[in-house]
Amino acid sequence: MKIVGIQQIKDAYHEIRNQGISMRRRFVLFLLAMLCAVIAFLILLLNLFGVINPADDELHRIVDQQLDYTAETIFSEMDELTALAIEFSEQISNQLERNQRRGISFDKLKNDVEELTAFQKDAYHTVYTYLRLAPCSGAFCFIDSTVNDGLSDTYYNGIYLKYANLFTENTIRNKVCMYRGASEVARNNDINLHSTWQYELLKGTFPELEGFMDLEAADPVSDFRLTTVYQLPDAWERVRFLCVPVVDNNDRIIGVCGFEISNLLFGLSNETSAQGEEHIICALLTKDEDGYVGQIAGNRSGYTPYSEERFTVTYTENYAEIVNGGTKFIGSTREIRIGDSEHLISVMTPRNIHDEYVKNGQLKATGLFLVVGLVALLSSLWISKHYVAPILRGVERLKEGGFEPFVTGIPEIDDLFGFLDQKDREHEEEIRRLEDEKLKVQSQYDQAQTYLTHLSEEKIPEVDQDSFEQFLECLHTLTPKEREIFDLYLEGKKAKEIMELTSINQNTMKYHNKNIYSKLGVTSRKQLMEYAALLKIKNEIGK
Amino acid sequence: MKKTIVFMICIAMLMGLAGCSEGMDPEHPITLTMWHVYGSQTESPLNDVIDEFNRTVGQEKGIIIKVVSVMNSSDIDAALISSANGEPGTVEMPDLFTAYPRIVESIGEEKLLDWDEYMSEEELSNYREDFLAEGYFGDALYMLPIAKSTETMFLNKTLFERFAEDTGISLEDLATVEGVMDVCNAYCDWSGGGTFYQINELYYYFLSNMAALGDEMIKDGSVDADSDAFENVFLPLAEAGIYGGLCVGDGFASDRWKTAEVICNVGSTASVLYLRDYVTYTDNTTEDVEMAVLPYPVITGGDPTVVQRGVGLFGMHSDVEAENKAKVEFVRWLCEKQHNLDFVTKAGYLPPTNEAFEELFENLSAVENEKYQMLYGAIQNMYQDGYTFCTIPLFEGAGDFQPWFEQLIKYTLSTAHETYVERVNAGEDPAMVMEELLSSSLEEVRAVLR
Repeated sequence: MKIVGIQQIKDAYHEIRNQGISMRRRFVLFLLAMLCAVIAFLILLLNLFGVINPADDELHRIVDQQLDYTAETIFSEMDELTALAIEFSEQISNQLERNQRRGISFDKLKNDVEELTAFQKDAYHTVYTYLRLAPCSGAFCFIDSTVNDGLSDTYYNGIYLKYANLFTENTIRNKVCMYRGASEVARNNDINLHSTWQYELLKGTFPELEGFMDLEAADPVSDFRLTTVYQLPDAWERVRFLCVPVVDNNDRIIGVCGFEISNLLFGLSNETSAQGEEHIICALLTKDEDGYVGQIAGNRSGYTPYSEERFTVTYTENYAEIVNGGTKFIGSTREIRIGDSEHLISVMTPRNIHDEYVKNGQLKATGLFLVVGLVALLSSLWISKHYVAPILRGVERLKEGGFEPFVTGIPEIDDLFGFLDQKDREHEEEIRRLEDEKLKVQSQYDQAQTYLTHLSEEKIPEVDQDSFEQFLECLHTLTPKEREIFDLYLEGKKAKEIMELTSINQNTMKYHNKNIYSKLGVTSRKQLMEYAALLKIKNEIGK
Repeated sequence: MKKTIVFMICIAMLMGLAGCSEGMDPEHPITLTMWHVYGSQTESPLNDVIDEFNRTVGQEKGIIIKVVSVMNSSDIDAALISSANGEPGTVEMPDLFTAYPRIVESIGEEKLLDWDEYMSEEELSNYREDFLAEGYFGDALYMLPIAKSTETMFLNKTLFERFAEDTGISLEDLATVEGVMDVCNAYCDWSGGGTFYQINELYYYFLSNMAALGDEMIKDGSVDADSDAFENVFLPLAEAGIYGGLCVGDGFASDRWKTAEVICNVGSTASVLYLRDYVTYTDNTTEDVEMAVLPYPVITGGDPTVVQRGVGLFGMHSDVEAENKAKVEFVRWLCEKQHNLDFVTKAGYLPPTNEAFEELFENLSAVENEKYQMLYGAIQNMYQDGYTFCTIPLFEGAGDFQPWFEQLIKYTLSTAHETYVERVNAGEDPAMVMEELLSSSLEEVRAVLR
């Protein structure tokens, strides 16, 4: 295999360079530049009028990508929580089953403070363990029993532990406090009571969670749900629950357990991180009577909107419009099913930010296409100028004279001038030939002229000089008609031809002849013709 | 043609440069994270005020205050120190947080925002001098007071009256430290071993009462436990703790208040937020109770003295100047008279500015909640009675010292209490056992503190 050297490449380059760019290529370049300019200005106009909107498309692509990620993350988190909650439920069932074996049936627990406290002391460790294991902000188990069923309200006994000071998505360093349960159990385990602690759970506080108690039977593996969002009574937190029923050996529901996911934890765990877009956020929404309630997570950049409890979601052709408080968002949504509950995951960006993003995108695109268009236009002008320049230079050279070959760098022009140069040479050759012929003819003419001069000099002495002088002097006395007839005689016309040409009859002809003879002093037509011939020779010589 | 091209290029360049400006912009709000102590898990009065800020001025100027956590000052300290040290499992420092000045040592002055640089002399002169002084480190103001507090006594009046009716004890008995401790023992006897009283911060009990006796608790960065003042302050406390009427267990008094396990406590004025109007018994029945707020008890032979408490607001210094300005903008708004009064009077705090402070005490009836009105009445009485408000001393390791010291006292007294009960139940003379345990406890504490 032959290796091409640098010198060879240089040579090839110089050769190509020396050959120049053909007019065809120049014309193609010109057309391409013009085409680019036209396309750029067309795109610019389409962009300005919003027919095409690359920024909007890009934003939607980012939002959709984030939605995929968020939906997958939330589903995965919920799946993990559910699996743990099912296991949690089995542990509580087993504990109550052990009580049963000790002779304390579930129904006997009611109104027995001592036994219920003992149940809580035992359950505490299970609840605490699952609280620590699960990605949650709280864990609970409530049973369908109470220390005092004589109260006007209905209560459910159980333990509900929460992180007291959640400030990060990991819960490693957070203290645990008791939200519901016996204070003695909290004291024994060296944890504080929540500021809004109550002994038992009042029925009606979290309807969806307590709803399990009203069911006859259920299967923890399939009958779980993620509740809507609740305000914790007297507290600043808003939370939702992933609940699983607690059942006995006969699948009878005896309680409910599960995990709390506070708005704060959801926000910390699901922050969006869409690259280059610092205002994209997500929410997990649940439908209620007047719209949606839900939890919102900000952006890792630090952006979190001020949000209120209620959301409304409407759909347009291209995207979902979500309104929360006074803030309008646009984005994409996806339905998600968790057990027997349905929810909506939304990834969105504030409307004003979106509009600005799109506007900036349009401006940038406009600027870009304006620059591209201008460059293309300038290129076409430059190319056209350089396309015509060699021709103009050639014309100038033509004006200056000659077709001496010169290199324009354009093969076609160089060929044309080569061709014109050749034609020029041929013309010069022809002119030289004609000049020669002219000289030859001139020489023959001069010889003929000399001969005529000799001839007239020979003839003139044979005629009567006086009569001929009279003839010459009296020529001007002829009338116009007579002169016309005289000139026709000089041209060699016969009398008959003259009568036809001048439209006169024979008598008139005779009359004019008689006058012509008389005025010119000739006696016959023969004499007239001799004098006329001498006159013609004389005139020729005179010329 | 050339002019047109230049014009078009200029337009294109301007388009390219569009959006390069930086600063506070409503269209691009700055989100500032915040950890604070006001409200714990209850409905936080500060959060309500922050919501108002976010809805109004914040929206207008492009500032969002995002409360990430509400916890007590000890937990905030621990979380801040872990974050500042970048320990595993921690998160980024918040932009704003509330803490005591002791945190400066752990975080490092260079990382904190100097409020003095951003606020005019006129603005700062509006703050109460004694509140502002606590936040200065040299010329730099790292802790800006947004709400201050002191300590008062809170009493479950309903249950106390039941006890007083049987024993003849009155509210006047709660005016002195020794009186309170005697009542503790009487209550213990009356209730069959119940605890009457809890002191939330035993460290402050020693600080204020030793100061009241004209001594200083902390000398050269350590406790002067050998002083007479220390003994005089320790003994009444120890007697009630060993006897059983004083709670020396862990946890806040507000927890035991909920279940009537303690019916009287001293603590921050802000405790009022957590002391509810009812108690819950073990059968889940509840009883509505009335609260009384009394001045901080004065030790016999001492001047009325109480600690000046209350965390201040710190800001992390940011390289983005707009963020620093946003922090100052928020603080200015928060310390405006009406916004500040809206917040502090719902949380049991004192306003930090002269104007708001004067207005509060000139017109106590403006405080809507009667319980809070009573609280501010007690504080006013303390001001009128010439209480000295002493500041919490700052020394190396102060942050770690307080919980350690309190654990020492609690452990010593709870152990002594168990011994006391055991020996008395065994038939020993209670007075002799008490005298012996008081002496040994004092020696134990002194030995550890030396």
